[in-house]
Amino acid sequence: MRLRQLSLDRFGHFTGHALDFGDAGERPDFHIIYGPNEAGKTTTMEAALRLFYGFPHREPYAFKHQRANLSVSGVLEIDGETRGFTRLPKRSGALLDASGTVLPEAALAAHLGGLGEEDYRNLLCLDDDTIERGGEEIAQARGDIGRLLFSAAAGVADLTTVLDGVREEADAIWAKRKTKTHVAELKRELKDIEKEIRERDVTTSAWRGLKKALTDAQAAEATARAARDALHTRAADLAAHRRALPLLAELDALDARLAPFADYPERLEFDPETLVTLKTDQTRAHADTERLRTEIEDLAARQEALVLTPGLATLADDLDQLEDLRARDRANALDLPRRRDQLATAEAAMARAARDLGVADECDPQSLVPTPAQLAALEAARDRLRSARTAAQAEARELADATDRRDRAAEELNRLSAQTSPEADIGAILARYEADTLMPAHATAQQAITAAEQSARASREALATGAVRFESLPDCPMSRIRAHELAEAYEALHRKIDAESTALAQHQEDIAARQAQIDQLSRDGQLVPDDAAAALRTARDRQWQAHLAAMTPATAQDFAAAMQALDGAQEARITHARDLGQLRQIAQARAEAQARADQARARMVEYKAAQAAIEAEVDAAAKAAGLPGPLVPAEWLDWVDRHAAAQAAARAANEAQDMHGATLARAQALLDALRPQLDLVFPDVASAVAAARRLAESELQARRAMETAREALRLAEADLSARARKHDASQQEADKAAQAWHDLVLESLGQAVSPDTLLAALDPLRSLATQQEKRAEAAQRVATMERDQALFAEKVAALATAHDQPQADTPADSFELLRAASGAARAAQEQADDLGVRIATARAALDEANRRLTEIADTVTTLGRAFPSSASVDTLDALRATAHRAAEIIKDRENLSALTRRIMSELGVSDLVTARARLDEASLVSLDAEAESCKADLDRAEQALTDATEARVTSQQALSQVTGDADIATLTERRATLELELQEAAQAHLELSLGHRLAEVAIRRYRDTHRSGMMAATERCFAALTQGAYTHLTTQPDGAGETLLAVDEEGTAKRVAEMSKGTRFQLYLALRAAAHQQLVAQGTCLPFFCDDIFETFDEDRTSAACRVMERIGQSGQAIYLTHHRHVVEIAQKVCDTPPIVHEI
Amino acid sequence: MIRILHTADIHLDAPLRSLALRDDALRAAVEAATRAAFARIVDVAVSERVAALLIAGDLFDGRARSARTAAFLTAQLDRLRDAGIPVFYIKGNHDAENPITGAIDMPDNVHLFDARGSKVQLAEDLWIHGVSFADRHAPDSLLRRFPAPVEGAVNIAMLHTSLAGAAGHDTYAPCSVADLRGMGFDYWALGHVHKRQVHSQSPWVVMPGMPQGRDIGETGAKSASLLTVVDGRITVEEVPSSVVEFTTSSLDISGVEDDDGLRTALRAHLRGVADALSSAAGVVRLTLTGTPPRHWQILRDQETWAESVAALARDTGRLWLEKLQIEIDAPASSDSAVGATTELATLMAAIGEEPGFAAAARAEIEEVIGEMPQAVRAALLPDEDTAETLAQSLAKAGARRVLARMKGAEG
Repeated sequence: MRLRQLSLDRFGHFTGHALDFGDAGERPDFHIIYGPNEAGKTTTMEAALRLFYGFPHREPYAFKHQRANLSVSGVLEIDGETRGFTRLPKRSGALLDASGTVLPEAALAAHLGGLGEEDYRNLLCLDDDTIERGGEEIAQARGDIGRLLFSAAAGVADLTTVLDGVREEADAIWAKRKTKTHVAELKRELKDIEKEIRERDVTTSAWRGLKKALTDAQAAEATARAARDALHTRAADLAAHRRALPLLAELDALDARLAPFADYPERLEFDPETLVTLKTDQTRAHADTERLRTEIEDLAARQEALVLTPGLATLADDLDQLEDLRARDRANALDLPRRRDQLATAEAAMARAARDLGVADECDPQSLVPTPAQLAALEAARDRLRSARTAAQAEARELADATDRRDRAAEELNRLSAQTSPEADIGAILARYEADTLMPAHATAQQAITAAEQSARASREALATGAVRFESLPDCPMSRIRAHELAEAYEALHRKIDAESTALAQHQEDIAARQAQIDQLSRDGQLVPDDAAAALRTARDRQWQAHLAAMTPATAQDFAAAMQALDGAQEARITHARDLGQLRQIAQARAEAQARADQARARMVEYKAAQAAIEAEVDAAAKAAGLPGPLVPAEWLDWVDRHAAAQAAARAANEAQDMHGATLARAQALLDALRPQLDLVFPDVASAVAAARRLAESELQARRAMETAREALRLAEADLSARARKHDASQQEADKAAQAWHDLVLESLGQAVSPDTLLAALDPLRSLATQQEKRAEAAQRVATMERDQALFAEKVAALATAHDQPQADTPADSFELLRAASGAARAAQEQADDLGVRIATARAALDEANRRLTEIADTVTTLGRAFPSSASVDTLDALRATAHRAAEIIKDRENLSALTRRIMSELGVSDLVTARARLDEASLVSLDAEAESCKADLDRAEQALTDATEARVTSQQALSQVTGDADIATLTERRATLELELQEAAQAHLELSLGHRLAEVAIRRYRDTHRSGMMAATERCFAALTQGAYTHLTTQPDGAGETLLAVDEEGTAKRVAEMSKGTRFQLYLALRAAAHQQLVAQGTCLPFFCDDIFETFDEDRTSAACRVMERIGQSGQAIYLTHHRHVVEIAQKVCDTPPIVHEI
Repeated sequence: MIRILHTADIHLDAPLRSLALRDDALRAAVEAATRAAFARIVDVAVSERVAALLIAGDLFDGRARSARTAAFLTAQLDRLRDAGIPVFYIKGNHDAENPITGAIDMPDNVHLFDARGSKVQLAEDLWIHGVSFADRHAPDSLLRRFPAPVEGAVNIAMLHTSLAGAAGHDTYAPCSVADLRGMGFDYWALGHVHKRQVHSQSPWVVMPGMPQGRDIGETGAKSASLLTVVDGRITVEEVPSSVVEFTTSSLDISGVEDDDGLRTALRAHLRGVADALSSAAGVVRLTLTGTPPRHWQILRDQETWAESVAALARDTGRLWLEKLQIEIDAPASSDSAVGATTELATLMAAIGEEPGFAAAARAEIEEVIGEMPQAVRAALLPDEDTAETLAQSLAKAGARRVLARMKGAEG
C-alpha cells in the first residue's frame, strides 16, 4: 500500500492542505517533505497515521480546529488500485470512501498488515529519539545478535531495559540465598507470628488440665475451711463460759443490796436536774431584790441635783443657719489682701505697655486694648509685610548674579572668535577623494602587487641549476608532456632492466643448481649417462667392425671388452633406471634455464639501448635551455615543472599590476591634493592621509567649541531677562503689603499708635490685652468678699442681742461665745431624761424577782408527794437528797437485769436457772486449760486453709488466662494472609523468571531464523552508511549467545562497544532498514516515515543515509521529513534518481 | 408461636484467607469474623426470644486447636443460657476430629446429640431429633439412626450431610433429598454445605450455609434460618450474619480508550459492587475482560492498575480488592499481525510446550517452592500432577507479561 495523496482538510494548523506523492512509476519511491521548523512536518506524518487509524480521544492536534471538526483524507494505492478515504473524529462512521459512503473499519485495516497504530509507529516511523535509543540498545545488548535483530525488527528500541527489568523484578521478589527479597521478608514475618502463637496460645488439652486442677483445689479449700470453722466455734464457747462465771457472782451481790428499797418508785416522774435549776433561781431572786432597792434610791438623789435652762435650747438652730456665712468669712480674711495686690499689679503692667507703644500718658491704656480678632489680623498683616520684603531682597540678589553670568559668557565667546581662523577645509578634501574607501583598497593593491612580484622572483630563482642562474625567464625547448613521457619511459625501462637482471640471476642459479644435481647423481659412477652409454655403444660397434674386419683374438678381446663395458653399463642403467629418468629431467631443466638466461640477457641489451636514446634527447634539450651537464629524465621533468610554475608566477605578477593600476593612480591624485596643505617633505600616501586626518579632527573640535560658547551666551541672556521680571513683581508685592499694614493699624488703634513702632514690636499690644483680663477678674473678686464680711457681722450682733448674751471684739469670736452657751444648756437636759428612764426599769425588775420566789415554793410542795412518807421532802434541799437516792436505786435495778441478760446470752440459754446449771461444774482454771489447747488446734487449721486458698487462687488465675479474646484467632488470620502473600510472591517471581527465560530462548531462535537474511541486508546497508569504513559484519559465539563484530576495511574486527556513538546510530539505522526489507519480503509494504533522523550526522553520513532511504524507496514508499535545506540538497546530489521534494 | 434459629458450619476461628487482608483497615474491621458472625446469631436468638438454637454440625474448624476458641464459645453459650435459650447441637465431620469438642464443658442449656441418635421434647408438641458424627468420616447414610417422628407433633431433624455429594469431594453421611422427604419430619435442619440452599419446602429441607464466608470460594452474603412455628405450620426466613462478604465481579473494558476512561469505568463499577453488598464490608476479586485498544499497556502496568483498583475500592468505604485479574485480549484487527513480536510470541508459545523447557521450568519451580514454608508448598503443589500444569500456566502468564512489556514499551 502506498500514499498517493494526503489531504490535511482540517488538522493541526492546516486547512485544506494537500500533498501529492504522484505515481509510483519506475523511479525509487523516495519523498522528502521539507519545511522550516514548526511548518508542520510531524503534523503531516501524524495526519497519515490518523487517516490509517482514526483520531485519538484526546487529540493534541485539535488546537486550531475543534476535535469534532477535524478531517484528514487521502488517496491510497492498494494492490494496484487507487481508492480515496476520508477519516472523521466520530465514534461510528469515522471512515468514508471517496463518495462519502461510510466504510467498515476493516476496509482500511485489512491493508495495514495487521499492524496496530503502536506497531506502525514502532516499525515504520523513525525519529532521532528512536535512533538514539536504538544506539544505546546496541551498547546495552553488548552486541548480542539475537537482541539486536529482534529489537530492530520489532521496533523495541530498549529491549535490553525491558528484559533486564523483568529479571531485576523477579530477583527482587525471590533470589536464592538472598535475605533482602520480598519473600525473605515475608518468611521472617511468618516465623515471628508462628513464634508468638506458640508462646501465647493454650491448647485444649492443657486447658483441660487446668480445669481439673482448679476443681481439686476448690474441694481442698472447702474441707480446710470447715475444720477451721469448727475449732473457732469451740474456742468461742470456752471464752463465753470464762466471761459468764464472774458475772454470776456480781448478780448475786447486787440483788442483796436492793432488797431494803422495794417501796421506792420504779422510775422518777421528773428530771432531778430541774431541782438544781430551781435552787439556782431561788438564790438569784433573793440577791436581785436587795440590789434593786439600793439602786432606785441612788438614782432619785442624782435627778434632783440637776439645773435646767430651756430658753437657750433654740439658739443652736439659729447658729447652724449662720455656719456657711461664718466659713466664707474665715476664708475671706485670708484671701482679700492677695486679691487687692493682683489688681494693683495688673493696672501697673497696662500702664507700662501703653508707654512701650509710645502712647501719650494721658491716654487710658484700657482704650487701647485690642480685640482678639484685631490682634490676629495685625499679626497676619505684619507677617505678610515682612515676607514680601524678604522676597524682594532675594530677587534683587538673583538679578545681580544673572547679570554677572551673562557678562562672563559674552567674554568667552569673544575669546574663542579671536582664536579661530578660517583655514582650508582638509576634511572636504578627504571626503572628495573618498579616502576612507580608497586607503584600504590602496593597501590591498600594494600588498597584492608585492606578493605577486615576490612569487614570480622566487619561482624564477627556483629554476637555478648548479651554477647556472637565470636573471630573466628562459624559454623551455620541450613541452611538459614530452618531458613527462620521457621520464616515465625511462623509469619503465629501468624497472624492466631490474626485473630482467633479477630473472637472469634466478636463471643462472637454476642452471648451477641443476648442474649440481647432475653432478651428484653421476658422481658415484654407477649411473651411466646417456651420452656415456652411447659412447660405449659406439665403441662396441667400432670394435665389432674392427673385429669383423680382423677376426683376430686381439680384436675379439677388444670387442669382448667393449661388449662387456656396454653390457655393464646397460645393466647399471637398468638397475638405476629411475635415477636415470631423473637425471634426464634435470638435464632438460638445466637446458631450459640456460635458454631463459640467454633470452634475458638479450632483452637487457635492448632496454639499455632504448635508455641511451632517451638520455641523448634529454641532454640535447637541456643544453638548448642553457642548463649544464647531463640530466636524468626525472630531473629534467622536475625542471620543466618548475619552469611552468615560474611562467605562471610571472603572468600573475603582470596581472596584479594591471588590476590595481587604477587604485594606485587615485591614491597619487589624493597625495597631490593634500601635499600643499601639509608640512611634510616627502610624504607617501598613507602618512599624508594620516596627517590630514589629524588636522581635520582639530578643525572640527574648534568649530564645536564656538557652537557651545554661543549657546551658553544665549541661555545667559534669557535667564537675565526672566530674573528682571521676577524682581519687579516682588517689589510691587512688598509695597502693597506695607500699605495694607498701615491701613490696618489706623483702623484698629486710631492715631494713638504709630504703624512703624508697632511693626517693630507687637508684644506690648499683646501684653495690654492679657493684663486687661487679669485686672478685671481681680477687681470683681475684691468687691464680692467685702460684701460677705458686712453681712456676717450684722447677723451675729442680732443673735447676741436676742438671747441676751455678751459680744466679743470680732463677729467671729462673738459667734463662738454663743455656740458655747447653747451647748451647755442642751447637755443638762439630756442627763435628766436618762436618769428618769433608769429608775423606772429598776422598779419593774424588783417586782419580777418577788413573783419568782413564790412560784418556787409551790413547785417543791408538788414534787414531794411522789415519795414514801418516810422520806424527807420539806425543803428544796431535802427534796433534792431524796430524789438522788431514788435515782441510784433505779440504776442498780437496771444493772441487775442487764447482768442476767448477758449471762444468758454468753451461754446461749433462755433462763437463769439453766445458766446456773451450766456453770455449776466450771472453774476458771479448767476453762483456761481447755482454751489453750483449742487455740493451738486453730492455728494449725488456719495455716491449712491459707495453703488451700493459695492453691485455689493459683489454679484460678492460670485458668482465667484462657479468655475468649480473639488475639490468637487474629494471629492465625495474619499467618494465613502471609501464607497467601508468599504464595502470590512465589507465583509472581516464577511468572517473571519463566517469562524471561522463554524470551531469551525465543530471541535466540529468532536470531537463528533471521540471521542470514537480516545480517546480509544489514551488512550491505551498514557498509554503505559507513562508506566502506566497515565492509563486513561477522559474529562470534559468546556462551549461549552470539555477539556481533564489524570488520573494517583493514580486516580488523571491532566490537560494538568499541564503536563510536555515531557509528552505533548508523548500525541501528542499518538494522532498521534490514528489518524494513524483511517486512517487505513478508508482503507488508507500507509507507515508511523518517522524522529528521540525520540531524546529528555529518555530511558524509547524511549522504550515505540518503542513499539508504533511496534504497528503501526501491522496495516501498519512503518519506523523509526534514527542516534542513542541506539534507535536501545532499539527497538531490547523491541519489541516483533525485527524490521528489515537497515543500510545505 | 415458637421461633427457632437454625445455623451450621460456623467453623469458629477458622481464619479468613484473602490477600485483601494485607490492608490494615480491612483487617481491623473484619478480624475474627467467624466469631462476630456467631455472636450476631446469638444476638438475634436473644432479641427474638427464640425457643432454641440449632447448630447442625461443624461448630469448630478442623484445624483450630486453641482453648481460647472454646472460651469464646462458652461465653456465647452462657449468654443464651442467661436468656433461657436451649441449644441443640450435632457434631459434624470437623467437630469429630477437633479436640476442643471433647475438652469443652458445655453449659447445661446445650444438648449434644450422640452418634446413636435420639430425640428431645422442646415444647408440648415440638420434638427435636438429631444424630452426631462419631468420626471424621461418615461414608454411609445416618438416616436409619433417627428415631421415628412423634405422631401429632412438629418434628425437626438435625443432620450434617453432603447430601448426594459433589464430584471430586468425599461424601459425608450421603443421602438424597427424596430420602429426607420420605422420613416424615417437618423440617430438616441440615449442615455441611457452605452455600445456603432450600431444597424443599414441604417438608422443609434447609441447608442454611455458613454464617461467614472465609475466602473468595465462599462468595455472597451469609445467613442463618429463622423458623416460625404457628399451629404446626413452619415458615422460614433468612437472618443475615456475615460481617464481610466475598464477591467476584468482571468488567468488560473493550470500549475504553485511555487511562482516565479506564479509571472512570472502574470507579463506577466498584461503586456498583459496593452498593450491591449486603454486609458492611466486601472483598472483591475483579476480572477485566474485553478487547481494549491499549490492552498491551494495561497488561504491562497490571501491578499499577492493581494498586489503583485497590485504592478505588477503598474509596467506596466498604470494599477491598482481593485480586485484579486481567483477562483482556488484543482488538480483533491485531490478530493477524505480522512482525517480529508476533513471531516471538509464537516462538515463546512453542518453546513453552517443549519437554526441555518444561523440565527446566519444573526444576526452577521446585527450587523456588522448596524454599517456601510447608503450608505454602502444599497450597502451590498439592501433588505431582500440579507441577506440570503450574509450570505451563506460569510460563504462559510469564510470556504474556514479557510480551506486554515489549509491546507496551514506548518504542
